[in-house]
Amino acid sequence: MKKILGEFEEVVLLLVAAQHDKAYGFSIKTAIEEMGRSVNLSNVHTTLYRLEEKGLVSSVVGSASATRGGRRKRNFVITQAGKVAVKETKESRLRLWSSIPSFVMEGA
Amino acid sequence: MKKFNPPKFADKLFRWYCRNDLQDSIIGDLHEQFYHDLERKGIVKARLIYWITILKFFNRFTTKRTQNKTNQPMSMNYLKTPIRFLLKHRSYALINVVGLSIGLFSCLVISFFLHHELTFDQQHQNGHNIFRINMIFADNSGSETKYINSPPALAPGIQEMYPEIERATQLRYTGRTSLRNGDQVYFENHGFYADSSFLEVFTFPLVSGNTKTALDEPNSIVITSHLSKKYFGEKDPMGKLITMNNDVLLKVTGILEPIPSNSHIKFDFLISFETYTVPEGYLSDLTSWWWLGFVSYVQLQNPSGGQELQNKLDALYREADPDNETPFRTIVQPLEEIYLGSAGMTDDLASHMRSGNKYSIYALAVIALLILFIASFNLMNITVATSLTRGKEVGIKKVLGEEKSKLLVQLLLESVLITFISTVLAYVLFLLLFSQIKDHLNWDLEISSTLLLTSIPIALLFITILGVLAGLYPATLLTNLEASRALKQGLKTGKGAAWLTNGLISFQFIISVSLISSTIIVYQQIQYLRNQSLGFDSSYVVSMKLLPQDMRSFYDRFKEDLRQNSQIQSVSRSERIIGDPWPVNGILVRDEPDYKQVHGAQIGYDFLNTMGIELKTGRAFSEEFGTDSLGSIIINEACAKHLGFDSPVGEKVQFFGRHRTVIGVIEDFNFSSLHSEIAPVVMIMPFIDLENMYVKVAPGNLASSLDLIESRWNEVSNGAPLEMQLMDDHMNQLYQREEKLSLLITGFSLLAVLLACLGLYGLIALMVNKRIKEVGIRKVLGASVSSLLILFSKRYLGLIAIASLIAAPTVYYILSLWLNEFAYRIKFDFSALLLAALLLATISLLTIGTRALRTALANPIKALRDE
Repeated sequence: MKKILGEFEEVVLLLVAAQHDKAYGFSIKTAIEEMGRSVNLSNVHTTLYRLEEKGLVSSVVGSASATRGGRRKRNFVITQAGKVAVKETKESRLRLWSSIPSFVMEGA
Repeated sequence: MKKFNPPKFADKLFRWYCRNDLQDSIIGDLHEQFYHDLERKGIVKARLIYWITILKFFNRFTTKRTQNKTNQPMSMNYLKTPIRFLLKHRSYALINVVGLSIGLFSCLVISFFLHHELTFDQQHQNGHNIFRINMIFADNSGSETKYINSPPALAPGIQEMYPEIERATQLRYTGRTSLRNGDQVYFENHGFYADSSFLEVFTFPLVSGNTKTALDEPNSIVITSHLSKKYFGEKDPMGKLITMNNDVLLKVTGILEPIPSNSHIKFDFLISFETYTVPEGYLSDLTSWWWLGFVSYVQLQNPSGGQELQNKLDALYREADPDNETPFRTIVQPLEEIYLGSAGMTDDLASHMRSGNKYSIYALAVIALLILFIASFNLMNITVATSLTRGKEVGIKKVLGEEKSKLLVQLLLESVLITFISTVLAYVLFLLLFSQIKDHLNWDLEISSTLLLTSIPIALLFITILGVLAGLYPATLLTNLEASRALKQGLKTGKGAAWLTNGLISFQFIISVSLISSTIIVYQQIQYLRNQSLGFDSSYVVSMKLLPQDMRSFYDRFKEDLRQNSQIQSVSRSERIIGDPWPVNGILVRDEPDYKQVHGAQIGYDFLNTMGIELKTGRAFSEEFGTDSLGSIIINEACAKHLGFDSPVGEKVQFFGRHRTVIGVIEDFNFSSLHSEIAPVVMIMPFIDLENMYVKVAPGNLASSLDLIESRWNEVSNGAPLEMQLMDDHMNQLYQREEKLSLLITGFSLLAVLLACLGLYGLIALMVNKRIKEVGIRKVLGASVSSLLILFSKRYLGLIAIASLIAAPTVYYILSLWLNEFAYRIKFDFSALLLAALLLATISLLTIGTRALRTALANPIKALRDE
């Protein structure tokens, strides 16, 4: 079955890729909020778990950090399947863009 | 700056629901966010966000899994172990399933019956506003009779007087009626003359015709679709003519949908009230406020207006008859109370209104509950007993890391599974057997498939609760066990389990003793009733129903014809047959001003010798005395006492508007059921056309006598159909209701006792298995078989003794109440209780014996060989 990415899933997946091996729940949440969009931490986590379930990201329990009272972070990295998925999403978007007649977007 | 920390309780909550492997990383993130928010948004907001986030985290990714990560679907694994366990302990599972499914089956049968009995007269749109007006007639001696009947002027009269009455309607029973369409002619027993508003007050839908106008015109008849089929086949009867009693032509103006079996008014046809004329010879007419020959219903504007109307009606009768110290009183009875609340009321017309018996409903409901108790106690007991052998199994599961809650669910599933299978079986049994039971008990009820379907979820819910309750105690015991102890010594039941088992068994014994002894007493009472001398001899008496005009036209010739034959001993006739209620009327003793109530019967010549009623003094009606038909009266001994006559013959009374002289006194006899005391009865010669005819034939050749009657009938009757019935059969029918009821109660009681024994058997079997080594050792040391049997059974015999003592007062109380309903009754006898206890002890000993004997007789080596 082809994995269809939701819009929010796509954002999270792109951020995981962008932050490379430093991505974890709170860092992604902060990044999303910096984009000017408010989001609950639980939604980010849930999306990450869902992506993991779909095999698009994988998680590793990372090193402890002092700010977190010694609790370890769960770091997420994008998998090969994840890379294919974002790429396909991007290409299908581009195909849609290129199908728009140029005069339609004039003045936008 | 003050140091703030994330809320601890929120963390606790989170850790409670969240999976262990995610907890740390998420809480880390949460804390990071908290300090982040604390700096920018302040403590209040930070805390709020913290809480909201934790609550929002609750979803399928974060919550604890109840299942290890296997590919198997969760439910399969859950079911597998219980099924394996049940298969391994097949015999106990079987005992449970058989017991529970029989128990549930009984409950289903009883519940459907009760549902039917408790949902009478609910199809009427105005149901809550409908009331029946019953009348109470009292005399100076204080004895009163309640009638469901009321006078003909009442309904139309009060409708005009009181605005709160929206509609009033009345019925007059047609009696036995012949209906004819072409060559289709039958007698019909269930019909009424009904007011034009009857179909508006009550909701009896019509297939065709108009409820508002169907009964408006004189000579209109509304028939049920059933009757339509009987007389007209597939043709449309609307507008066709039906001949009533070979006399009156009626036009069909409506066809009724089938009348539901839970309607207290039972009828196949309705004739417009305008058609009714008071027969010749009656002393009252339709303007009478005193003639209790009709049934009146009112539809009030306000459903709570019954009591107020009753007060008004009572006042009305007081004012109408100011000299009477005991005027008529009324009972304005709500429709929904009529079916079960009319016990003890007389229907003066014997119009086949349905009336139910509260006591039988209570009795059946209690029995259903008891059966269910017994079956579920069995389940509980056997589950407790089998759990004793499962310490190792549970121990190993615990060692292998099974969670406690999961183990509990598994153990509970075993009993739930048993109850579930039993429910399915109970429904199968029900579908297979219900119609037979219904036929056998003459139950007149239909079960709709929707009702059956709605019962299933209720039954399922109920059964799951039952299963969980039954399994909960042993399951908690087992799961609370420490793994090491469970493995080392197995489950040692403490005092708790022993108390539970003993308690449940005692309770079963109490139920069993109560049911057996009650059954014995009910049986004795009914036998006593049947063996009572009725005061008349109905053997070899053939009864026939005749239409009044037939009685007029050919009775005398027919009687003469029959009397020519030596096989025929005597012929007579009467107004009402023995067994139907006889109408009550007022009688005046010569110089006393007040009426006294007596049951009056109109009889023909030779009635006393035909029925074998003994004459005490005086003489019977005789053709030699021309005055008998107008001026003579015969009374029974009870009546002589009631009227205060020392030497009754020759006394003068007034009855039915005539002065009459007492010419004879007869022995008391039971003219209606033995529920009631012998009432004062008077007999007079007929002034209206009678309907019942009797022929007493010589003992011996009954068949040829019946042939003779039939051939003579055909000569004189002009083709009127002949319906003969032996009086003995008729009398048996009077007690049929009681007998069927007692049969039902006996049947279910026996079933309950059987279930209790089944449970006992299972329990003993388990007990004996556990003590098999002990038995072996005892035998080796020289114990005898009988001493071993005593060893196993003495505990149960003790319990039976205790149970009987506890049961005695309850049984005494309830059955004394029941016995008090009868005028002729046996005395409550504690020997029935003793008998019940002995019976139960015997059954239990047999149960114990069959199982224990096998062990006691077995070679002790077998028991001791393997270790």
